[in-house]
Amino acid sequence: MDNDDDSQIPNFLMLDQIPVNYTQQLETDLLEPVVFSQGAATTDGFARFTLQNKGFLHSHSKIFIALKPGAGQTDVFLQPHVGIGQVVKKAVLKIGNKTLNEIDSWAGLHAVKSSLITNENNVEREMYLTGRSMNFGFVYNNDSKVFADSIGLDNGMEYGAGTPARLNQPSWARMDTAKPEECPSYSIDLSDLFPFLKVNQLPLYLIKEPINIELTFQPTQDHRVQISTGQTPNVACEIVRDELKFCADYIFYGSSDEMDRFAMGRGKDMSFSFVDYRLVEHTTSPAQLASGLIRNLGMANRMVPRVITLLPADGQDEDTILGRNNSMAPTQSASGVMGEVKYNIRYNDRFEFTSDVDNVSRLFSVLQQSEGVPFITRQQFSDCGTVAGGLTDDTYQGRSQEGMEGHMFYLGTRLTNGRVGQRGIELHITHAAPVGGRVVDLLRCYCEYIRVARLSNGFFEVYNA
Amino acid sequence: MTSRYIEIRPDNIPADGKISFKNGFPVLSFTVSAQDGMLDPSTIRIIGNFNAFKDNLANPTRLTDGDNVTMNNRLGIYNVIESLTIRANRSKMVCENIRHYSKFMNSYLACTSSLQDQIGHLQQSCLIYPNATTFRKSVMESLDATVSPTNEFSFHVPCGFMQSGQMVDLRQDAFGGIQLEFLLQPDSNVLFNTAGSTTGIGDAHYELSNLKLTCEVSDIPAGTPSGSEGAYNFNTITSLYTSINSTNAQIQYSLALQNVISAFVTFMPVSNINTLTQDGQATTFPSGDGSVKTNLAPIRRVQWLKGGSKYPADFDYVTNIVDAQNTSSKVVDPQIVKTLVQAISPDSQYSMERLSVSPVNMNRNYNMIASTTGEDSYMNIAEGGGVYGLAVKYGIGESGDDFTQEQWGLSIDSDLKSDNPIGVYIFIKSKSQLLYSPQGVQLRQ
Repeated sequence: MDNDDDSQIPNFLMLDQIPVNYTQQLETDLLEPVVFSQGAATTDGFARFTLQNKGFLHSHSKIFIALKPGAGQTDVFLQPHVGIGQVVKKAVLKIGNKTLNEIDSWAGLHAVKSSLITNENNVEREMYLTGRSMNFGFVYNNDSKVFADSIGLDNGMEYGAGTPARLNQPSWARMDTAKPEECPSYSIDLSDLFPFLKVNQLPLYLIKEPINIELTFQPTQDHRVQISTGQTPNVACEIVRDELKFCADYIFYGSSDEMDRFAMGRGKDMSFSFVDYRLVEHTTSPAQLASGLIRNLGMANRMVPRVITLLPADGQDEDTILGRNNSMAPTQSASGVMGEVKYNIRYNDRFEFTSDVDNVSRLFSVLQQSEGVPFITRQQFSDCGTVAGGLTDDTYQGRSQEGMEGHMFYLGTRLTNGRVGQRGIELHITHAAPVGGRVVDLLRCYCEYIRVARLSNGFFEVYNA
Repeated sequence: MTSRYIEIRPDNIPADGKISFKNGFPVLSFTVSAQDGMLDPSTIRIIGNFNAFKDNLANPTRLTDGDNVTMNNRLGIYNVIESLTIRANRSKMVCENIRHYSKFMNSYLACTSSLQDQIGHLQQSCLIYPNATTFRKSVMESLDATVSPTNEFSFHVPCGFMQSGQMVDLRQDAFGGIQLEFLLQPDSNVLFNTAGSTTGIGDAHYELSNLKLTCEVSDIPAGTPSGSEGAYNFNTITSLYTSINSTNAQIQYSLALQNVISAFVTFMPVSNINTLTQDGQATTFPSGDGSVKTNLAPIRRVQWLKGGSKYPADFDYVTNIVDAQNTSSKVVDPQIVKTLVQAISPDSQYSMERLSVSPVNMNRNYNMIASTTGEDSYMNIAEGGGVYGLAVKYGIGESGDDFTQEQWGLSIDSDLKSDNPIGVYIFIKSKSQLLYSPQGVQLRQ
């Protein structure tokens, strides 16, 4: 066979290089986990899926997950900004004994990435597919069709009567332990688990090693769902074993022998770069943050395009709307004056910003320029404008919507100074975090870095760019 | 290629760092100086803090609940900008100038951002809340009359120069630096009392502080040959103002523009402009139907003209209320709606998803009476306030039409029977080209 012939064949690994009208056939397998562990109250769960080495793995293949609430729980819900992703603690993609992608504290990163989905899509699509329903509307005052003192969650349902009024999730989304057959199944997109698959796809048929997807699940108590008011707390929530499946879509390109020619040609030895996320976590406290922190995030000698920083109050429990996947804004005085915040990144002997960024709107713009347009309200991001207006006093599933104020303070920066030098990246942050109630106890950073995968004669090599 | 985030203080900042029209600073300007770098103009943000006060004492009193002083809620921080001028710093040659910028932005935001955009990210960056009450409570009012809440903003500057998708070569022998100049609005054209009274708020004013311009500049590797000559293409807005006061209005202008892509006009009673008692930034129907000046005066027939002849449509746009069965319909003619959106949204980005025009805010179901509690007042229209305008698109795609030789014109038949002059803001979108060389910058339109 003439290897030069494959010059007419697009690079199937790069999604943007495949013509939209290229002939392809799709085959779908429903794969059961080869290993499954439910976990326990304080122990993580685990599942491993092993893929078949055929075709190309469609990047939007899905993992189906359904939950069964614990005894006595008749109305639990998912965090509206993360959806079913809140059950996943860690996601790993392995080829043979090499790790291609590994993201720890995955749900935290997923919360940031989910904020980039438009609210319209959340309420019209994601609510059904992934359980993400973050969307806002004005909560109009009684007997008025124009005056609204505040905004509130809007999932298409009507607020109930009473003060505070209650917004419920749709009845089909309700998870009731007494009606397991009515508990919905949701899905997680493979390209959400491993973000590099939004650009690349895996040529499974060229790989001679086993391909495994390993998911670590949160412990059964306190983590997997949020509970409405009046529900029994601290009860184990189980992943329904029979509903846990990997819906693998395999693509076969061409109408004749294009895939064989691709395999014999450039498929024999090819490489591509992709991004992975390295989690860097430090314990901290409001006192430390208030006096200013400098933390080295490592990443020496690596290409790091972006850094995401979160300040979660990790102790938040199942009785809040956003749970543990939050990031706290600086505290505010009773008059609405925001506490101090200063943010900067230093590497290669240069600060990214000539002076520390102390304007929360600019921090929002910096996040926007790094990640894309986040659909986060001012109340959620910085807790500003909430003294007289802000989020409604009404509840979602009985939980205070005001509890979301200042809970999505995501910080993100696109790095501009090339490869990181020997000293790594330093994060400089001063932050007047709340000292009572929901206390920031972690500093969590996700460093996006570039890696290179080489597929040679069916075997993968992975190294840092 | 590496790059840098830079931040620049205003050129004309007073000692206390506070910019206020009331206290003698009507112009805000920033200069990005010439340097070895490429400026990405889409990254330019103006950051700072906004506050409003009800008087001008040494320690001014903050607005509180009951003062009923507010601004246009769809515009947020864009309320304060009267005009935008971008100059080449070396020669001070004007590259782009948009007058009545806030009026332009009112239509632009309605047609290019959805309600969720406005409730979401535009809230944090531009202080936009598309509801009169929420906006007043969240941005304008303080709980404490002596302490201002934090109202930080970081707004982008939508205009052709910024959104062209091209980089600006800042080298001294190429484009050189640029200067951004914002002419601020008078306080009385920004703030208004929803009760239509000026009692106690005669010196109400706004103030900007901690201002900076931030942007990203890419480094030019050493040894890169100078791009000393080049062209910079973008679409720009030319703004005109006139007034009408009859049932048959004829508007004609010699534009002297070569590639006119679209035109749109918005209306506001002249008596509502630049007063603390009315919202001069809203975009409403003409008003004054012969009985009461505050009743809307619907538009019945529209002709777009070129050289006195109907063009591009060889027919009149006859609105829905002319139909005998629809005379009292509150719904705006759908073709008027569609042409407005098409004229403002670029072809390539036209999307019915990302706009906030709806029957809630584009209708004839309101009056022009200032009111704090009246649900029918134009000040209280939900979803960002009223949206209305007439518009036309020229050429197929974005090719544009030549208006250098013939006059541009608009003929309107309306119910404007009262003696109530209506201000007409005319915005012409056209192609521009900046040619730069070591000798300077030349603007071709």
